[in-house]
Amino acid sequence: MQSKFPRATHGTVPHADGRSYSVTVGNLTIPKQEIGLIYLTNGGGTGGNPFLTSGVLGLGLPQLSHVYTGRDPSIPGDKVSYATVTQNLAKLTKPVFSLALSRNEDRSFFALGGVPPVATGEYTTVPIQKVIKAQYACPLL
Amino acid sequence: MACFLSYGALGSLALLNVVIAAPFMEPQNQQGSAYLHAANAGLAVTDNIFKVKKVQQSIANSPVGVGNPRKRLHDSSYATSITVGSEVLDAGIDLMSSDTYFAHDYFKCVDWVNGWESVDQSRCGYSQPIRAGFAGGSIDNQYLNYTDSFGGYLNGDMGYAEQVSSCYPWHRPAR
Repeated sequence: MQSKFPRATHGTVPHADGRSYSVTVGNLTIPKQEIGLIYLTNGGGTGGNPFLTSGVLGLGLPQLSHVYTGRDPSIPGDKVSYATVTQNLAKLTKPVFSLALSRNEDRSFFALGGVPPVATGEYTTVPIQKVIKAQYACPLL
Repeated sequence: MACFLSYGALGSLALLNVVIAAPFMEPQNQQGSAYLHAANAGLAVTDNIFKVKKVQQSIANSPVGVGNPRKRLHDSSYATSITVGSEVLDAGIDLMSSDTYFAHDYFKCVDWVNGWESVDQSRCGYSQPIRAGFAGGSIDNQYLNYTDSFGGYLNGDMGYAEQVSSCYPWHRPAR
């Protein structure tokens, strides 16, 4: 069956060895971090709403990865489990991150290991349901 | 309105709690309320804080080949700045994906409606592709494949990054 997706004809992204490849987010450094480099796209990958950014920092659950053993998305491949940025950061600090999103950029923060010291009314924690859609159906502690 | 998400990544397992706050603009001298409310919810206030900014979306910000619904939610997209090697790049914060990736300088922007025709990179909405490659080498048999119900599509390699660091450090005001 012919794929409906274009075949990669450009080769792979070049790389160089022997250089540092640690990842530092804030003051936390991950010695070795796996990331993706995109070489073919129609502007997707951001929920159908491409942003004027260079890429994406994925903070979602590990099961929400889109890394597979196969290059062609029309051919079923096995999903690859790897240590994401969030998982590696969790090993370096408390396993919590938080986002404070405000229309006022001065009050919008990304915090690692806790919550930002911004004034709020009241925090309320709400557990996520185990099954919302298939990829959430993973065992929880 | 602001919301807070706390995420516990414990090895391959994960716990996710949504923490929703009812925020209000408050002078700095009342900042202590954040500590009180955080403590009441079993959360710790941290100094590891970085500013995020609202993403300016392009007018033609649908995937190439998809009709552009001009109705877009305001204030719906935020980004943080990440340095890879010597390059300073903006990365959109995505809670529906666990992958971190960048469009490479070599990337091909295609129009999926018109036979996957190659079009100008600027039509794909990535403002500044990354020039660096995988300093630690690419990984065999691992590929980033993504399609969505909006027609969005991307394909790429996985590998180990050159040094990456976050920008926009924020220093807590003196209390």
